[in-house]
Amino acid sequence: MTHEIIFTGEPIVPPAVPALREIGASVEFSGIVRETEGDAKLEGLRYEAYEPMARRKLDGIIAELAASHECGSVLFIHRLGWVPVGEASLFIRVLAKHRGPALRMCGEIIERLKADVPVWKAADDGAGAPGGFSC
Amino acid sequence: MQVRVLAFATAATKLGWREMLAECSHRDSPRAVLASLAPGFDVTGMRVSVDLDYRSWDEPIGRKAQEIAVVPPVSGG
Repeated sequence: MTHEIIFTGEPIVPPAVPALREIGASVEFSGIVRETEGDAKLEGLRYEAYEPMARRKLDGIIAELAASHECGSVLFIHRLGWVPVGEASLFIRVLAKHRGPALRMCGEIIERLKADVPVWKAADDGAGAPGGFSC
Repeated sequence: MQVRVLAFATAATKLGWREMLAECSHRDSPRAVLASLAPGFDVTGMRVSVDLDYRSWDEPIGRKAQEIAVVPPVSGG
């Protein structure tokens, strides 16, 4: 199984799904910044990462999950910096022969991301005004 | 020996810095190294990494340690 991990400061534009004769399922997830967080109304979120460690953790997580979920490839893109409401902060695409492993793989990557990968988001005004990092 | 100490997100906000150099021994724990830079800093709820792997706050950092990071609860996605 192959995987690609991308951290970018630019809006996420998912590439076209490659035409592969053995792929029967393409599962995609987009995490989108929403306007409300509890009672607060947001303009966006600011993301930061400890990127070398985040890559290392994601490499390990995806390799570990690949041992139990038969998939062909994983594309993982996480945006960093300021992300306005309505835009994607995260995109994951899993390609597999069958939908079951692809769906499970995608879901488990998200769960592990939220538990162990050093990426943080903070609510602020995009100009550096403090709003605090959520956990 | 000298190690680089990094802080992220809420840890950086509370510490007031993102990167410092610390003089320490390979026998020192990450907790002791951080305490030498920020005495009394409360790491409750935070994890620590040494050279990109999560480690115990209380085990020696070892002779090969180069970079320690204070990792507050993550919130990616």
